[in-house]
Amino acid sequence: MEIFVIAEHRQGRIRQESLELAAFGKKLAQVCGAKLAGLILASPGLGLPQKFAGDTGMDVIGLENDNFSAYNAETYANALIKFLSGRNPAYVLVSHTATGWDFAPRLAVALKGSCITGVAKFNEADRIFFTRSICNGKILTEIAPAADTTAVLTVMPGACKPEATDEPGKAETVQIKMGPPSSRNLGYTEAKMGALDLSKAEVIISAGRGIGEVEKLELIRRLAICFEKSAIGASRPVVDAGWLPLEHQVGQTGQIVRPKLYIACGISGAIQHTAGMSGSELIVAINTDPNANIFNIAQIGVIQDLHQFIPFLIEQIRNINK
Amino acid sequence: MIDINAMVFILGLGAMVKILVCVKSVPETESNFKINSAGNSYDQSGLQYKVNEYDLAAIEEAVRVKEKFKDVEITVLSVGPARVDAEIRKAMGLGCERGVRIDEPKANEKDALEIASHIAAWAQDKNFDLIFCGVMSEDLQRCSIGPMLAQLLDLPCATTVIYLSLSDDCKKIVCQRELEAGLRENVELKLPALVTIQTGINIPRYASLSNVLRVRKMQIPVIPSNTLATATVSEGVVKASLPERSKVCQFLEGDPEKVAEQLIEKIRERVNVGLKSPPLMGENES
Repeated sequence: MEIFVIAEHRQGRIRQESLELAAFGKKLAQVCGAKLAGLILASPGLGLPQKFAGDTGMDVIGLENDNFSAYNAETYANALIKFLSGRNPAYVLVSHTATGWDFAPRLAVALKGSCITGVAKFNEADRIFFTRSICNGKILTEIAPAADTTAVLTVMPGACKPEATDEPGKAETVQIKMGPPSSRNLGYTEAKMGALDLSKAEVIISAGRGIGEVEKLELIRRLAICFEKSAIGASRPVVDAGWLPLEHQVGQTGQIVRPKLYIACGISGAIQHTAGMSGSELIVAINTDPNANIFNIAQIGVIQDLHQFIPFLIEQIRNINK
Repeated sequence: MIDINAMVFILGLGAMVKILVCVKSVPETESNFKINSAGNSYDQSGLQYKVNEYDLAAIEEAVRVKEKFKDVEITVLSVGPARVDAEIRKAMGLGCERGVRIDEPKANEKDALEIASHIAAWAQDKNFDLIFCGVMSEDLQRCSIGPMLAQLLDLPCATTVIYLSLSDDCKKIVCQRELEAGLRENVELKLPALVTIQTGINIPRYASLSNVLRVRKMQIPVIPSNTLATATVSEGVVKASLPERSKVCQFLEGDPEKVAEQLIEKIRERVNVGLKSPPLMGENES
């Protein structure tokens, strides 16, 4: 039985998510008694297979081609299909990132395997189940891949902590013959993020869809100025609606923050958001929906209408400072 | 030799661009979910449904292509029971010319491949130039249907697209894919192609009343899923459950004034943050 961990890299560096994925792979391999190896698609001469083997202690196979310097959906899927087809591995592990979910489902279809995305953890019973949440974390589902097929899994960033290793794994390379893809990569663009660096704030007051309308941001602003070194954060729907610019967005596609205090106002707690703030020292959630997933992340929960509640909170702070 | 495509273009006889938008009917995010009797998903009864937000952005993007290129026809498709006609009609009211429903009463309990294979079987001979899907559904959040459909139809695909631009000759599309922390990847695909749309790419419009009335009585053809090829079912949800109420989260309950007092107390106990008195201006909202 074989398990392959597929590494992501960008601009010559291996992604943190891939190191976490390797740690997930090690645990899974231990439980199933499987042989574990890393796979990395790279242009020759970058030393990436050696680097991944060194960081993880896993044996790594580098699939090399001159067209593999940057990610391309077509080349990734085709190269992996080529390499994995005859081998029938039990599991192929991919990170649940914009890159991972771009090619993993294609790979699963081509390998005629199962595809389980957004995996948070696995459980071992008479067989192995994978847990993923649905409905913004309100429901957990356990999924079993079909027996005797390859299961392609995309694993949530942060599902496992990378482990330090003393002994580097062996790295070997395999040349993959392949023409240039029909889709062309045109490089990267940095979205205009503005000057706001949320990571410097000690207190973040964050607004979610639950604030209801853009005018209600004033309330969030007023709460924020009650704290020293504070900043205003936002969940994706608030930024999508144009209520706040992208530089305020917290989460997988925005900024990753770890303030001393994070107050989530009207935020449901989608996994894409919590991935960006779950490391905060103290998380307070204010939401009218008692089943919101944010209460599974927060240490203090307030089930109140924030439009009524926040003015009391501001008043309270004023009393203290009298 | 004269390139026939070039000639058609020069004469201004460019063929119509056919766009397929795949949409899903999903429950409101704030719904109070229960587990269904089979114990493998949420109970679908008694919920309010809407068009998946990512798909709403996909519809808007298709309509914008139509506004720019004129000779564009948009078909909206959904897989599900009869009630999803409401969401198909909503999309038609927003500017999709025609709607189609693949009838599948238990769509939500099927794996992504089965749904994708139904759509692929129906779409394969329809010559769509562009297929738009939302990047994921708000309920099952699998991010899988789009890339699977692309694989089944052998199309190039870009996911999580936050900006797109169709070339003047309608033969290529440039997409910006949203990665992490504000980074975007630019990729050019040759048509036909499939794109999954991320929210934030646009602010979807509201349907005009005249459009809503116009589409109210339009027919939506129904295709039974058992007349379409199905790829083998590969994985199964064994169990769905409500997460246990967090043991970490301490809930502060009571009247808002008391809770506010307790909350500030707890915050000061647990973290060292500076408080300052807020300005008095405009404090009369409560």
